[in-house]
Amino acid sequence: MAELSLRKLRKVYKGSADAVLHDIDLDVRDGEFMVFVGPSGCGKSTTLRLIAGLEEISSGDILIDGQSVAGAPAAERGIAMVFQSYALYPHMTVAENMAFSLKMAGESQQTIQSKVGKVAETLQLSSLLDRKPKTLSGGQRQRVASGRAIVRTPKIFLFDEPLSNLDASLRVQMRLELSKLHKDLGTTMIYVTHDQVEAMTLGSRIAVFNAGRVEQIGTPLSLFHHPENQFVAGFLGSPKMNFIDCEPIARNAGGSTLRCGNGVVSVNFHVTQKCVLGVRPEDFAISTESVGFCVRIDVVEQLGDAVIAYATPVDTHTTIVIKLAPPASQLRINAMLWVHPRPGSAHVFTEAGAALTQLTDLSTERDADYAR
Amino acid sequence: MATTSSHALAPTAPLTPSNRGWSKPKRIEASQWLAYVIVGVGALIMFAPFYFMFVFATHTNTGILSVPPPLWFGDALGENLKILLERLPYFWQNIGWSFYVALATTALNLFFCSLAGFAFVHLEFAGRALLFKAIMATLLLPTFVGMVPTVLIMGWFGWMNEHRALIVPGACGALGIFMMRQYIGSSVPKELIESARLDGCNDFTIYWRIVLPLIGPAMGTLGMITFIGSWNNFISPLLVFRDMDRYTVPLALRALQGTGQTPWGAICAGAAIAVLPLLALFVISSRRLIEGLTAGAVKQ
Repeated sequence: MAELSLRKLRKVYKGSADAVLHDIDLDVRDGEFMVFVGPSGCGKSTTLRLIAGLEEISSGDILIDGQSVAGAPAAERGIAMVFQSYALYPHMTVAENMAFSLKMAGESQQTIQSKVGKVAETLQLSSLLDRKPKTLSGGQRQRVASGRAIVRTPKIFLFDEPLSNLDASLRVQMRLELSKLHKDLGTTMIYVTHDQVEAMTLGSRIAVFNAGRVEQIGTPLSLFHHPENQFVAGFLGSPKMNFIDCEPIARNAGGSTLRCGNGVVSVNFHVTQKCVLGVRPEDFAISTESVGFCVRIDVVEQLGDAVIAYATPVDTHTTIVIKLAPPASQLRINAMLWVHPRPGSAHVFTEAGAALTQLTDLSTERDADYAR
Repeated sequence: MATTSSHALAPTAPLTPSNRGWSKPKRIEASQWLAYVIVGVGALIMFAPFYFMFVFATHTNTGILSVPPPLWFGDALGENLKILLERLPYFWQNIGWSFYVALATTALNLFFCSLAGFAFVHLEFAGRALLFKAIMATLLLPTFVGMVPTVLIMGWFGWMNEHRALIVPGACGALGIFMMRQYIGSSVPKELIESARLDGCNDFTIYWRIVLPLIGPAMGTLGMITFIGSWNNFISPLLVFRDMDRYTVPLALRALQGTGQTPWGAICAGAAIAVLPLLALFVISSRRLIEGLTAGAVKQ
């Protein structure tokens, strides 16, 4: 178990003028399951590879338990990594794969057998020890890759999108197994994924990466409910948050009134510039009166446990997504409805994307009440 | 007793090639015929010398030099072998030397070319691209251009008339490095190398324990190409060796010419013996050779 700190970590590839990582500062606590999440090319995997020692840092430092490891070879950092492709040695059996690092470390045959046997038993791999990787299923390969990492008893585990090659049901199963593994081992784990569901379900904390920077670090729920910027708000949540451009049109004692497309909302603080209203699809409710946004339903998706509608606010060319619990019979194609954000659920961002605040008592007004 | 009346049977469709269980032979177009003819003639031209080598090995000089030449096997094989062994008393030793040189050259070539291929694919070092281009540029030079300098260098080392003068210059080549680089680049994923590095391997251990076991097909192909090239090499031994007991087979067979009447039957018998190991090698591993030659040509 160990703590990991990244200090002003920067990476510039040879021959490139632009940095792929910009002064990353990040602390991973002892025993924590930290998830790096972000879109493709955001720098999350590069950060992981720098931590592993597979690539050299351009500047900054990497500390494990307070000791700098930036110049140490990969094998001496006390780190084990599970790759996206599992990277199992195809010419070795499962047992040989798991024993390889111990063999390289000069462990005795007896110790190797004992450690491999124990880990194989934990991961239910005992019956597969004599088989070659090509004869294993995706899930079994994933377990062997994890076993190979565990057998080294590393200070920190690194996972680089280890479930992305599995089908949906197996991914759920393996996600649970990884969660249990973390609980059992209590070792510090860093997990890279672009799948927000994996991030939300596995992580003790999540670091959201974007364009080589960490946008926000926090627990899954804090990121979901209190995003610090529009990127984090939009990245977490499925379907993603709706963003509607707004401008202040009136100011009163309690706050401001905003025109958002064809709708009008009031906020309990003063807004003096153009801004962006963020509403999660599940935070829309159908209005019984003419309040909020008047929309025409374009497409309806029945998911069984939810109904998702893609709607166009009248007189606009934007699309908003609405997610309601079934039966949601009002959501019919070409139906005209009034929808409004539930109180306390919407977010307001500056045009640059920074969160102004989450609205605590956002109210919607009758369109007719608004003096045009 | 059960009977079957003919009118109870369902009407049957007339038998056609498709419902008889065999398909109508595919019509071959004129362009395909032309291709087959060209390939056939090419194969015949390449096969004919082989065939006549075996046929002539069983005929005396009189038969071989007659017009038309014999087209089928004769009964003079024993006589030809006798002449061969009389005129070339070191023939079996020469074959032994050929094996020694070819095996040593092949082993060293496989080792160094695969090592270089691994380095060019998976190791970062200054001037890597430039060095690779320089090595590839040597492929543009005709073999004979390098022959004189090589012989001079071997002379400076004092290796003339020694087999290492053939083995060392053949221990690594641009073609082998290119082949290995292509194969390793396409068949050994970077993650395996990185995983091995995390497992505590150094560069050589990665090569030895991870890369080498995974490049069998390419090693087989390069091994055969090198072995055949070395076995058939005539010019280099001609420049290096003085003593007949150190000759390799091609040079020894050439020694049968130029002293009186050339015993063509004996030469062909010797050549047939010399070519047998190569034929056996090719037959055993031709599939692997083709696999290796086309490796990386298409995405698998």
